[in-house]
Amino acid sequence: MKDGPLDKELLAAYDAYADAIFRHCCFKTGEREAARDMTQDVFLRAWTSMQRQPIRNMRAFLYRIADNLVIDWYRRRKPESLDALMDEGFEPTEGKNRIEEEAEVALALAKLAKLDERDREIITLRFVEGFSPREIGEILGQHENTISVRLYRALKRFRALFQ
Amino acid sequence: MKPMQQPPEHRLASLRSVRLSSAEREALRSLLLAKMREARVLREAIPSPWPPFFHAKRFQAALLLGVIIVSYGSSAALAAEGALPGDVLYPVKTRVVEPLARLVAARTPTAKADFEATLLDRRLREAEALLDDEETLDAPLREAVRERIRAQSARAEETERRAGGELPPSVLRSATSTTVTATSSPARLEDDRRPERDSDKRERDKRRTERAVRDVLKEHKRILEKLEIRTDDDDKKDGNDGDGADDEKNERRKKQSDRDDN
Repeated sequence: MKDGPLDKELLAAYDAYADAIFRHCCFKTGEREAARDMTQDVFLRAWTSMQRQPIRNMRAFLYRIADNLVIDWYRRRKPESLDALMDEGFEPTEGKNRIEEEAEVALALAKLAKLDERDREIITLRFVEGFSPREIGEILGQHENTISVRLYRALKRFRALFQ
Repeated sequence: MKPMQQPPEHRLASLRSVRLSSAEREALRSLLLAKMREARVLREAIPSPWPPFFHAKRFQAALLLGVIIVSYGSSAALAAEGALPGDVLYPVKTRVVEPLARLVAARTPTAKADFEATLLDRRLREAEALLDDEETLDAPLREAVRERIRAQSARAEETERRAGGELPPSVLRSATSTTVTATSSPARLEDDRRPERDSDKRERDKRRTERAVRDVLKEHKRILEKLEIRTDDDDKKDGNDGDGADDEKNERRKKQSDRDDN
C-alpha cells in the first residue's frame, strides 16, 4: 500500500525527533523500556491528530503528547528514580562509548536526579534539547517570561550542586 | 579547554548521547509504519456514511455558519414581529419577514389582497401603538409612518382591485372573526333548537359582517385621523392637490368640523 503524505511527514518527524522524545521520556520515567513504548505512542498519537488538523509546531506538539503520556504512566505506577536507574546498570548510550563519556553522562544524571521534577524538566529542555524559552513555553503552556524566571532559578540550584 | 572550566549546565550536553539504539530506532520505525497502514486499512474498510465533501473543513465551517445565520435570523425575525416604527428591528420586520411572507403565503389574487390588507391593518395598529408615546413619535417618524401607511394602502387597494373585490377580505375576516366569537354561543343554541334555513343564515352573516366591517373601518379611520392622514375620500372631496401642509391641515380641520356638525 502506498504511504500517504501524512505518513511521510510523520516518518520525517520520527527521524528527526525520535531520539529526543525517547530521551525526554527516559529522564522523566527513569525506565528505558517504558520510554521506548512511549516514544512509539507519541508518534502514533501525533499521526492520528494529523488526520484531523495540521500540526503547526510538530516538535512542541510531540513533547506535549509525551508529557501527557508520562502523566498517565505516573498515575499507573511509581517511577524509578534516575539514581535507581544507574544502580541497575542503566545504559544510556549505544555502541562503543568511551569510559570518559560514560562517566560524564553518569555525573550529569546524578546531578539532575538531585533536582526536583520541575527544575529537571526545564533544565533538560533548555540544555539537553536546546529549546528556547519561547519553545519551552509552548510545550509547557506557560509564558516565555515565566519560563525565563523558572529557568534562572533552576539553573541557580543546579549550579549550586557543583560547588 | 578543560571540561571543569565550563559552566556546569554545559555538561548536560553529554546527555544527548542517551538515545535509542539503531536497532531500536529501526524496529520502532517499522512498527509505526505497520500501525499507520493498519489504521488506514481499517478506516477505508469502514467507510463514512457522509459524502467526502462533508469532512472538508471548509464545508463544515460553512455548515456551522449557515446554522448560526438561520438560528440568529429566525430569532431576530421572531423578535422583530413586535417591533414598531423607529425600533432597531422594525426594518427586519418590514424588509425581510413581510416580503418573505408575501412570497410564501400570497399565491392567488385573493390571498394577495388578503395579505396586503392584513399588512395595512398592521401598519395602522403600529401607528396607533406609537400614538400613545408622543416622545417617540417625532415629526420625521410621524411622516415615515404616514408614508408607509399610504404606500401599504395603495398596495392593498391595487391587489384588491386585481382580486375583483370591493373590500379587503382580511378586514372582512378580522371583523367577522371578532363578531362571530362573541355571538357564536347563541348561534349554536339556535341551531340546536331548529334547523336554520341557509338563506336566513347567509343574510344574518352578511349583516353581521357589514356591521363588523363598519366597526373596523371606523377604527382605522380614527387612527388615520389621529395621524392626520388624508384619505382618498378626502382628496376626492377636496378636488385639489393640497399645496402646503398648513393648507392641508386647515382644510382637514374644516372638514372634520363640518362632519361633526352633520
